This record gives sequence, structure tokens and C-alpha cells, in this order.
Amino acid sequence: MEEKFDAIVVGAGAAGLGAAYRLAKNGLNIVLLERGQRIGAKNVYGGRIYSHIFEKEIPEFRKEAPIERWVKKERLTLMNSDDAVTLELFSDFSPNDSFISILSKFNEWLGKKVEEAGGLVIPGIKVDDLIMEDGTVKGIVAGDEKLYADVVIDAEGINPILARKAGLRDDWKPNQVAVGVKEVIKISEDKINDIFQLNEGEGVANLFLGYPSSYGLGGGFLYTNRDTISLGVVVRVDSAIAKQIPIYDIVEDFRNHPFVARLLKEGSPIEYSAHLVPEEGFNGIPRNLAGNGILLAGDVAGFVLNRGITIRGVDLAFLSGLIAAETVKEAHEAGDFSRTSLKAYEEKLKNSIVLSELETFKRTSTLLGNLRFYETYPQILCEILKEAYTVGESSRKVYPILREKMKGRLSLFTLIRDVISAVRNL
Amino acid sequence: MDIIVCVKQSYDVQQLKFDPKTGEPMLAGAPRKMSDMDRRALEEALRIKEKVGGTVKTVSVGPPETRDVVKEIYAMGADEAFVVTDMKLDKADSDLTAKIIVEAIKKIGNFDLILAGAASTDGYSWQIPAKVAALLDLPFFPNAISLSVNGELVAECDLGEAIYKYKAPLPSVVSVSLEINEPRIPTLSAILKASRKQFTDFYIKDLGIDIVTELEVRKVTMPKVERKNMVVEATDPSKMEDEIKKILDELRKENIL
Repeated sequence: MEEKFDAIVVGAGAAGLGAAYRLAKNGLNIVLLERGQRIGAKNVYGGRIYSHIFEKEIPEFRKEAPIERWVKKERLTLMNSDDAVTLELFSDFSPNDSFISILSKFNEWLGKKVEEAGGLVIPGIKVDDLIMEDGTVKGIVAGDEKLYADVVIDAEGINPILARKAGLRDDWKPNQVAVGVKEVIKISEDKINDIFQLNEGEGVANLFLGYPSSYGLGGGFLYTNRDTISLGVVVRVDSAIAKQIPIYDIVEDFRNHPFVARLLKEGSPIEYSAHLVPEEGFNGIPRNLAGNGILLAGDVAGFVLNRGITIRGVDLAFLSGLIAAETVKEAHEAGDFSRTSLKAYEEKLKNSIVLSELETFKRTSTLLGNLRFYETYPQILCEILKEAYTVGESSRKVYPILREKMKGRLSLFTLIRDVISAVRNL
Repeated sequence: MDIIVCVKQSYDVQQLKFDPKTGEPMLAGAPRKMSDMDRRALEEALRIKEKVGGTVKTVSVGPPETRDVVKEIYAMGADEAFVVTDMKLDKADSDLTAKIIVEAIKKIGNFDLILAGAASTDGYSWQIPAKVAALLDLPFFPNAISLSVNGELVAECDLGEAIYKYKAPLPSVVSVSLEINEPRIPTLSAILKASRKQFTDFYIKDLGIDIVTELEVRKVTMPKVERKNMVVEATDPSKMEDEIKKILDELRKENIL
């Protein structure tokens, strides 16, 4: 009989790394398998990560983690094809609340932490299947090799190959996922500080609505890294299909928009990547997150929170991994890896911010499915402000401009209803 | 046969990005991998061992990141790995690297054969194996495309103008080319077995070497490839012949046709 592990963790994203880190710290004999040739190879995200959970779990986080910049400015920009209206919050966010990082590098660092904690991290291994015996997961199959364990923590990411085999979830539908495309633009550290008016180590998180997603459900984003900029577009797949949005072209259009082009005039793209993002929030989470001998964590379980003004997933994924590890540790002590024992995971998640936050913002995803926020409002707002600020021979009051711009596009009743719904649900 | 293989942890050149302004490679935190030709040298050593017995040991020299290559060396099946690392070795030239390799080899002990990739994936200087052979005062057979050990060592070496077949005395140094073999991909169980295997760290001071590089690298830049971006408008079907001629003339001007 081959060596049997206490746990196999599949996928070295934030969730799998969190699970492996905590399990290894607890002294369990674990292996973390990753499909990419190195840890982080398959990660695309380059943006904001909330720091609290990492800070609490990893003592040396602040000293060692590959943090590009701490977020100092929050911006929301509404855009039409020529104009842009930006709302900016400048604050010291003390103590530092979120940072900008390149997930690929961040996860590579987390992988080192797992190894330091005594975990076995193996990249370059694609897990193809689960070993099932009498409805219980007993291990994994990779190519023609088998590996056995008491329990498998499935943190495989957005493509639910194993979770489907375990009967825990269906494949995603087009209205549940968005496609994100990202470019990394090389500028210099000093130039970024000048352009965005930042001191050393400070960063901007800028979300965009309207033009960047071709007015479909989604938006654009811009994050300042240390000496590069992450720029991209996210569009929900059903919306991209309905509006026939050529997702690979619109990043270029976004980059060339006069507002963005001025920010990037010094830079040129050095990297290009794309990934799927779970978008449905609470309603997209599978009914069962634990089966016999298996737990789901991270993207495969849909733990991403889109609040409209911010998106949060990496820290929630990591936390779900920690909680999965805690559950496995208890199951290990009790010697019971059946669903009856492992479903304590679901209870623990409900009592943590992973599920409580997602539940709080349950109705936000309905609001975020309202096309007017992407199509009508950014355009009308740009037009109104442009006219209000244009003096010419004689200027006009704002309200008549508003009514004129709304004509045939938006009723006053719908506007009021949307405003109330936005205020309530954001 | 006891074989020592020189294995470098190179930059993964295909994943290297260049600063578009300065043309310089962005090396900070850039991913690394086992040098392609060294991997084949290791593969060749393992095949010889599988055939005639003996041991395969490796020596790796470089910055601290070099240690990461050991896992793979063991997963492929080497018996023992030795590394010499130092922060300053990131800028080591081929003279210094060869000197360190040779001192390390002297510490490792007896051997019948030294194998190395003919050139590294990143530095690509083609110097190290010859310098190692010279320092050890051993015969050197460069750029082998095949090796056989039926009683004696026979190396077929691609020297550009012809392929030479040598009967090689032992011990000697052989550098191998990319086409010598198709290296194995370690199995999961081999990786697991290798994962907790210890390796030996040699320290520069124990080898009695001063880190002095005679060679100064002034600048590393990406070759400039300028595109002409010429567009030939061919909207009028009656003038198509002229437009085609224009394209052909351009191609002739560039010596492509």
C-alpha cells in the first residue's frame, strides 16, 4: 500500500493554500497538488486584497508578503465613449485595510509559507479524478497514478471537475460567471506616483462602469502596482453573449479611452491574461459544501462577494481554506470523515464572514443584474455633467438637462426606484 | 559508473518580460527552471546508471533560488545533490562558476564522468563545461548528440561542420546538446519520494574561493525588432496587379524574396 495522507488539497489558489497552511501548522501529513508548473502560474487576478485575515493567520505577513501598494485612494468612474465622471475617496484607511498585489506572486509566497510549515507542495500535477469507494472520496487520480487520503479538500478553482464528480455542484451557467481580461502595463514607480498623486507605497483602486464593458453587465478596473498597472475588463458571460461583446477587443478600447490613455501614456503592455470569476454571490453557492471525504473551498464553492463598489474573493477563499482545515483537524481527531462529521464545515462557514457577508449582500447581485447601471446611468451622467459644466453663451439649470437626457431612455419612476434599490442593497 | 552532472537553475527565459522602455529584462522575482540542456545531461546520466549501474550526483551553483532545483533533480532520480549558493553568485561569470563547480566536485569525491548541458538556457555562454574540463585537466567532448557506454564511452559530437564520433577515455567531461534525449517527466510517486530527501550545501568559504568576477556586464537588452507596419491599400480590383508588385518590390528590398 502506498503512503496515505491525512489530507490531499487540490489546487494552490488562495483557498487551497489556506487549507494546506493551517493543516501543516496543525502537524497533519498533507500534500497540496497544483496543476500549474509553479505555484501561482495559473492565477490571473491582479488587484485589491483585504488584509485582515492574512494578518491574523500569518504573523510575518506584513514583513514578507509581496505587497505592491496599500490602497490609499478609492475611485469609481462612470464612462461613456468620450467622457468620464469620477468619484474619489482619499483616506488613510488606518490601519491599512487592503493592499494591491499580483495574485500569482502572492500565492507563490503563500506556497513557500506552506512548505515552511511542513506541508508538501507539488506543482505540475493535474488531478483528473477522485477515487470513490461506496460513495466516499478516498483520494485522487492524477494521470495513471493514485494517491490516497482520509479527506480531499477540493479547492480546484472555477472549473469544477472534481466537485461535479463528487456530485456536489453543477457546472456554471453563463449568468453565474464573468470573464475577466487583464493587461499589465509597465510604467515606473516614480511615474505612477506622479500620475496618480501618491506617496511611496500608496495605491489606487479604480473601478469603471459603462463604456469599459461595452455597457454590458460588468466593468473595468485599474490597480496601481509598484511599477506596473493592472488594467482590465470583467463582463458577465450571459451579457457578453447577448450583446455580442468581443471581450478580447474591449480591453484595448478601454486602454485607448481618452481618460485611461492619459493615465497610461508612459506605459506599454507587457502581459495579458484571462480568467473566469464566480459572480452570483450567495445564490451561487452549492447546497452541500461537504460530502463523504471531501470539502469544497474557494472559487469552486463560489465564495466571491461582488458589492458593486468592491469585489472580494481572495481573502474569503483563504479563510474558507482555513475553516476547511479546522474541520478536517477535528474530523481527524474523531476519526470520522463522513459527511455527518464534515458538514460541521458548513456551520462554521455560516458563523464566519465567508457566508455571513455573502448572505448580507444576497440581494446585491439582483441589483447588479440591473443593466441600467451599466448602460443608461453612466452615459446620462456623463452627458448631464458635460452640459452643466459647459457655459457657452448662456448656461442651463441642471434639472431641465436631466429631463431632456432622460427622455425616451429612462422614466422618473424607474430612476427613483433604482436609486432606492441601490441605496438599500449596496 | 559514477557520474557527476552540472545542473543550473536558469531563468525561465520564455516567461521573462522585458521593460518596453529600456529593453532590459525584468529579473526581480522572475520564474526559474532547470536549464534545458542540463536536464538532458541529467537524463543521460540516469539512463547510463540504469544500464550499467553506479551513482548520479549533481552539483548546482548560483544564487539562493538555486536550491529550488533540487526537488526536481531528486524527483528525476539522482542519488545525491550538492549546491553552492550565495547572493553574490547571481552575477558570477563563467570563470568563477567553473572554478566553484570544480572545487565542489573535488569535495564530492571520485567520479568517472562529468556531464553538463552544452549551454545554459539563460546565460547561453557555452563556456562552463570546457572550463571545468580545463581546470580538472580532463579530456573534453563538446555538444554530444549521443552517448553510449558499452564497455567504453563513445560520444557523437556535433561540431558544426561535421559530427565526430569519439572513443572517450575515463574520466572525462562531456557536454550534451538538446537533441541527445527526451528527458523524463517525474511521476507523482517519484516526486513524493524525493520531496523529503536532504541535499548538501557547500559554502563558498569552505571551498576556499573568493567571489571575484573579472567580467563586467554593461547592459542586457532585448534585441530590437522594428516592424515596418506597411499597409498596401488594394481597393480597386483593376489595379490589383500594381499593388501586388508593390508588395513584391518591398519584399525584394528586404532581401526576403
